[in-house]
Amino acid sequence: MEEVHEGVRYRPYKSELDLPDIVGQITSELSEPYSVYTYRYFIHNWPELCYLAYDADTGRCAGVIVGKLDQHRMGHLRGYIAMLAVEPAFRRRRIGSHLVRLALASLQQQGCTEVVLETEVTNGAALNLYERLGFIRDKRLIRYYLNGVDAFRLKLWLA
Amino acid sequence: TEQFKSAACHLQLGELLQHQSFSLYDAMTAIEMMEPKMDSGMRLDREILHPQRSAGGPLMKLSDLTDAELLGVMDESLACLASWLDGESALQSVFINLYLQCIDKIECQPLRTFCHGLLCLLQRAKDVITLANTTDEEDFNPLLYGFEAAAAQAADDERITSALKEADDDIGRQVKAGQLAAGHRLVQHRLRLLRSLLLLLRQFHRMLQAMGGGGSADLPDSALSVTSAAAIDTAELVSPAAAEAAAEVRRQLESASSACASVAASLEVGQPAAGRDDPRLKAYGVQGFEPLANLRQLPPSFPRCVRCSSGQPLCLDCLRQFLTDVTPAACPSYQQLYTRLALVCGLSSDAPCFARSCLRLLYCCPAQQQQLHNYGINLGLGSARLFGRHSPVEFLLASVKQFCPIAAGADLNASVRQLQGQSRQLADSLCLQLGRALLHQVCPLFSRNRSRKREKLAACLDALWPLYESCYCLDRALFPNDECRSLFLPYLTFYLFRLSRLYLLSGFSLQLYARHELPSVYFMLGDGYMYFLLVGIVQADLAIQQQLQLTHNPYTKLSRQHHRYHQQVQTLYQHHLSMLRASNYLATATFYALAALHSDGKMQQLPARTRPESPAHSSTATSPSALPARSITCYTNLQTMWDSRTTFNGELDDSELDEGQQRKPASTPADVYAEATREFEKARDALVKVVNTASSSAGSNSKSAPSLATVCIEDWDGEAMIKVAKTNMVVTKLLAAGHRAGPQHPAELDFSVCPHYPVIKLLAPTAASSTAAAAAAPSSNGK
Repeated sequence: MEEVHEGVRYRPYKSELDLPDIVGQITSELSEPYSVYTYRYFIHNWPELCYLAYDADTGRCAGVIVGKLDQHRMGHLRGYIAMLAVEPAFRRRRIGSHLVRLALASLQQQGCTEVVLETEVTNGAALNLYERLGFIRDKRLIRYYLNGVDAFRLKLWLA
Repeated sequence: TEQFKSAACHLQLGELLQHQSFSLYDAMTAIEMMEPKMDSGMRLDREILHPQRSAGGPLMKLSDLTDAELLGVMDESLACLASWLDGESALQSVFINLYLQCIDKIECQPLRTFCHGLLCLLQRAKDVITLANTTDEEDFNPLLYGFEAAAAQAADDERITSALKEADDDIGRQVKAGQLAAGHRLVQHRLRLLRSLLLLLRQFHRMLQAMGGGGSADLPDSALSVTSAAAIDTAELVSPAAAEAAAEVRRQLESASSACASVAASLEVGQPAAGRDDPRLKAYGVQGFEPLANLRQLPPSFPRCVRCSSGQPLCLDCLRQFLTDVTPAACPSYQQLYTRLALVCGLSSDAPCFARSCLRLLYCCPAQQQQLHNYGINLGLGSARLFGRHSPVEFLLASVKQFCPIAAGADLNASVRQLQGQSRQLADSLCLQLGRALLHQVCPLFSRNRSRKREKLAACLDALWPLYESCYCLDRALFPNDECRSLFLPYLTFYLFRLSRLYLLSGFSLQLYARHELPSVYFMLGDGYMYFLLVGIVQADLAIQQQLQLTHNPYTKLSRQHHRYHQQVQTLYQHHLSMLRASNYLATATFYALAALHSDGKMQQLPARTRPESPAHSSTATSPSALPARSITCYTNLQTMWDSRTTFNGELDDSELDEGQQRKPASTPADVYAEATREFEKARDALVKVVNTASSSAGSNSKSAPSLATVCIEDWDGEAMIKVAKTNMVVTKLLAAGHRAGPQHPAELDFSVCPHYPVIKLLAPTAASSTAAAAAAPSSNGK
């Protein structure tokens, strides 16, 4: 279902026709390289956890979020935010927060009890965004990224 | 391909072709060719050296190398080895030396022998690290990426060491005869270093074998006594073979250290000449080295910088410190064993993986019996032993007795052996579980990888918490008629809360705590844990101690000896408790200070929010039976305590708080600042006392003995904590007096002095803080 919030139109993933927008956003903003199969793995298995944001006036893609939902080895359902990117021109408008909230709502609807994600320790903007939403820093992963930077695993308990 | 393309034309939008043995998940590992981020070949912007094609060329000479070129290859190889031992992959470190991939083609005899020796050393070091099994994924990468065969071929270290000696002697003869330049003497140092490192490893293995195989496996009950008064035949303590092997290891260590020093003194000779402008050599400047040679064999990765390291290849200093002062012998007293373990833990905290592996093999042989057997190490009883001699159960009982000496009585071992039936089974099982948990899980916590250390702490807590009830049952079985007497329960509680404290502290170095979490962290470090660490744990022993003091008759010799004995044995853990108490005061003071700063408007981001994982690990929180009831009460007190110190509406309700935590009614943040000042003062006094006691006890021991105060309480830095306490005491005192009150003077927390306890710094007023202060003025002070 679509919604318009503060001049930005949010909608879930519809079809492969959205893939260029998704790939374009992620490739330009994130440091890690992903093949097209990586995108397909997430959005074909969990399309309901992929949301796109468009500027309501220009129709330009402003942001995207991609996630998944899996059974954790302890038995409960664990959500994962795989990718989140917002176009630099559209930042500081809470678009990223809104995309995360949409994904969290969808996860919670499906019975998810906790959500995790990784982000670079130097990514202050992402850390602020997620911590404002209630995520805590669960672990530090040494040399997690290909460029040798450490990562924080952030976790949010929904139950 | 054409068939596939024509079939794919019939697919609808969103449809995928998928093979059952190759899912989308598997397809994620695909690499897109020509994509710069994924295809490492796109980084090859110049011609790279190849071991076969470039061999014999000007950039990879096989003969007639100058002494500087030879030294460059050797020094760079040793630096790469040190990098590999520091966690780099072998393909990006050791095997960028292309000479290792075509050793048989090398005509220069010293270089050929050196390359064989390097591969042999690589294999030997890998054996030690794999055997010890104390490294994590980030610490060490054991994969050799197809070079295993080459390494295995060079594994005959006796042949290699002889060849190195021969090459060394040949160079000496040729230099003397004028056939080689004098600079080749420096090459001899490198060959000697390699040879001495190989001999060191060989002797080290022999020492491990001797420790496991020689001497009496079961020491008498009087061994590992709490005091040194027990008469022990010293012949039982030292295995002659182990002592001889240890002496040989020390000799080789000295020899290797001396060779290392010679190499370090002449490093600049082998470095590439400045100003060399051959573009082909710009990449690395050393003959035969090509950092991009193996790029395609690795997953997409950024090449890491590998440069000459000034560190020693096998971290000899760390080993020397341990082996010089400690003989591989059994310990006659618990104190000595504890000191030795403390030394191991202390050295392991900062040691690279190779040194840490050696220490691990020395203090506790790993449990992989089959591997040990393959390496010729026979443990005799088939179970891990401390320094090859002491069983985990023996260590545990001595440790428990040391912790609660009065409750333990004269002979704890006999008391345990006298139990019958189910009680005896419980005792045997619990002692073994607890002993092994303490040995196999606590000691490996000390490593440089702090992230994994936190996970290991959590696993350790998970392993120990379920033993809580068993400890209680065993205490009741040992002392059925005396409910005040507890042994195993307070001992386990002590370790549980010490580990929990370490778990909390580990979050600081990993930067896991957001600002709003700090109050809950300091609460747990302060009142949360310490309240019943200090009350519950020592309660049993104190009660009996008071009883003993009442019955103590200073006029009889036996009574005086008895009294002196108990005073001596309490020193070990009393010092721990003093340190923990001092930390408790500082944590409590910091909590109060944060509450005052928040209520004063200086730090608005501090509403206390707790982590769901509490008190130490999320799984423990879901098993309330494992937690003493008081801990849950204390934990839930957090929000109440925070609110009571940050909300001033004239009505205070402290009724939910425990006695001792209730405070006098306060009406302004100044009162909370004053409370914080008193706590900081208490902390300062306690810390100064602890540091002075530690200094005096360290001065009386040998210079090599570690300070018990510092090694076993992780991350303890008494001087830094005193500095924090003193500074914060002054700051909170000034704030209590009204100096720079209000939100227009914001505060920040500075962790540069002490990583766990911040210094409070008042900042200059900014426009934003002044505006905020003006907006908040009508409702300041919570009225």
